[in-house]
Amino acid sequence: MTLTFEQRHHRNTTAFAYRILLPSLAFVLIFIGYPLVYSIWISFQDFKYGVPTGNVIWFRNFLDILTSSTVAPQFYNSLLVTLKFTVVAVAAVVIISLGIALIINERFRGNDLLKLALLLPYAIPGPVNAVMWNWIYDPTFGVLNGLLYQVGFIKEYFTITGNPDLALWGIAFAYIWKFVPYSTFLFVAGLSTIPQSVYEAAQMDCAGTWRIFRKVTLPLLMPVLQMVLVIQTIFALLMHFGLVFVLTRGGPGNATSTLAWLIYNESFTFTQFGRGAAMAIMLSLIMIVFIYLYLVVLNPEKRSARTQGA
Amino acid sequence: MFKRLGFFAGIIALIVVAVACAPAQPTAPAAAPKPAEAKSIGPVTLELGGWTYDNAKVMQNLQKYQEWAAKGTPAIDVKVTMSDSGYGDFDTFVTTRYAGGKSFDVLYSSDHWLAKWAAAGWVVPLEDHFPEAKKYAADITPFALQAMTYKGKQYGLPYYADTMFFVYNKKMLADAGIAVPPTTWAEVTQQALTIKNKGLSQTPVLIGFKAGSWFEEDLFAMFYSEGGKLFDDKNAAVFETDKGPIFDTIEWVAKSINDDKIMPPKVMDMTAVDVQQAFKNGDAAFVIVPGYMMKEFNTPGVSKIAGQAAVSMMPGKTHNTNGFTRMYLLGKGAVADDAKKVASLKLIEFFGGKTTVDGVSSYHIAKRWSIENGLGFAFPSLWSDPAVDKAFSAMADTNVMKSQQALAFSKQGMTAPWFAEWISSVRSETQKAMLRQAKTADVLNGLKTLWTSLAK
Repeated sequence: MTLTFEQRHHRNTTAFAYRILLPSLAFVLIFIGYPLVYSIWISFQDFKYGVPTGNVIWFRNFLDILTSSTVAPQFYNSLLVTLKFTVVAVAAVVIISLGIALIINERFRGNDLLKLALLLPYAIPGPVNAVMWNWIYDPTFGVLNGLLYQVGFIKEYFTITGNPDLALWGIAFAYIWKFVPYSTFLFVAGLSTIPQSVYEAAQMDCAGTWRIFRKVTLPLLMPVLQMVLVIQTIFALLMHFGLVFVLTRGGPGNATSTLAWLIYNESFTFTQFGRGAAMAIMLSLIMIVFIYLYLVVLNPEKRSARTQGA
Repeated sequence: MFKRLGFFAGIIALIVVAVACAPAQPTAPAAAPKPAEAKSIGPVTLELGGWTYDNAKVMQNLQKYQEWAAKGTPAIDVKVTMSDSGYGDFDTFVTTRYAGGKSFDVLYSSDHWLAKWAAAGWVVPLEDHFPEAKKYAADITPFALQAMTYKGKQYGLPYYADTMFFVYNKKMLADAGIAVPPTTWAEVTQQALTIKNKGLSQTPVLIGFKAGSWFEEDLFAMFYSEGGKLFDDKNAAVFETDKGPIFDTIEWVAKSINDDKIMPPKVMDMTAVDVQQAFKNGDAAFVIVPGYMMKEFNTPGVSKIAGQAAVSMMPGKTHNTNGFTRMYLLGKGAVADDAKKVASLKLIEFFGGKTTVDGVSSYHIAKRWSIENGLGFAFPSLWSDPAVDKAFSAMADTNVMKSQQALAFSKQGMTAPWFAEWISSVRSETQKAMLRQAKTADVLNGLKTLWTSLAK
């Protein structure tokens, strides 16, 4: 069979593309694919005291997590705590960072300094951030208590991380503080791509600030907003772990026992690696659901396509 | 299209093969042959796994061990490296290490981790490889010996063994007109209220109830002081759930926090170390802490209340308390190699047993820790050592310390491999009862049921 020039060219280009992609693909397969498949394999196994019994129990770990009297209550509690944390943290990060981005997108004196200062929280490594907030919240000598006491807001030192009603929000605050800068800069980058002429046209139509924001800025920023939501949801579901580990260890009671903390406990404290892996897979599924919702709900084209399809 | 599919199918097949080839189960070490008689052994390199605590002193002790081993019979040319992590994360440190297929030759352990590690086969019975370990049994305080025993076998020699003490601030009590420290928990409440009402302390009682291992040291000390019994000899849960010592203890804490307000809610965010800081600062009248903290309490320059901290028998019906033990264990990795095994056993004995150094036979390392750091010891015979007696007399009334140590018991249930999982729920659930988010009886019922399910 003789190939046409176009076919030969296509075949060469495709082969070249694969060759170029191979190193990256190998990296992904070794460091993401293999661990992923291996953790799925672990989730099908039975462990006793840290050692696999050799029994492949398939979905029993998943079933135990959802129904057993010992694990299920903890799982549902952690699921609820995680969802509460994620919704609040993501909403707060997005709103605050968008607000700050709108401010620093304007030209004013000290703008560059503000941008530099904003970077600081994100530049602090996670464990250092957690230890720092542990000191700030300390009920005996913490800076926060000292400050509130000196300005007369409180009469005696109080605990945030030891109070079941406040602990989760204390962690959320520390988390938001760290992750606002990251999203802010994504929004700033997005805002810089909106042409000035669009704003000028809106202003000529006598649109107010709020109207311009709703009708011009927000729609044009939607792709960035989607990306920020996806990234922040992934972060919020996972990256609060360091704060929980240092500040509360899941307590008081189960007030801050998030899924990430529960997975850690199941795997490394109880050495139930199979159950821990199963929980991690379930957490990944939750993440996928969130991301899917963002991509569909916030994407008018996909939304309308689905509606028309129905 | 099919070519592309084939490419990906090939990659996936590679992954599947790799997974299938991965070791699904850590292989058991081959039975160790009997160490060969030799005039000299080595060079050998050992890895000691431990938590970070006064590492400079640990390094000096390791240097001494290396020198001592080099002069011994057989002479051992050994070098020891140490891998450490914080105490709070040490269990995770060890778990990830062994789950990843690596081992330590010798490792530290706390009493509540032994069952889990032994059940997993990560550590091996010391007496199987070092029958001389048994000779120390007669000189080891019973709670420590029990703590180092799993399924009837002695697994280690003690690093240190200490007791949870009830400590009070003498000056604060005197200022409040209280002549004698409390002997019951009701008296603790009464005296604490007097102290609070006189404005001497807003937080007269501090006991660390932050979720973590100090939580159960404190809680078990209080349970025992009232004569509480959680499990029988066969590890069956026997505690009552709607009355009795365990119930009363949790209720006392809840009442102290929520009604009497002699203990602040922030205790849920405090470990024994935080309590130590607050007590040194003169913030509290009564605390429950491990004995070794007495040294710092009464050291001028590091404590604002130096000379005022005193130990008293644990309040309660029986005055019993909780004794905890830290120990040296033999890792499974050490027994696969003759030279490593001999060097590891010598290291354990040098650190945790009695050896002759420069012609003097003594528990050299345990003695050093007790004199220089105030750590409690598992060998009652050390009390008769003048240097130890002098060091401890400077920090507390040694008669009270000895009496309290005689009434110390290791944590019941600890020999069950599922203890770590159960105690984690004890922390979170009991905190709820203490904060009145849940009823004590419901919490205890839940914990009893959980224990029974985990035991199956």
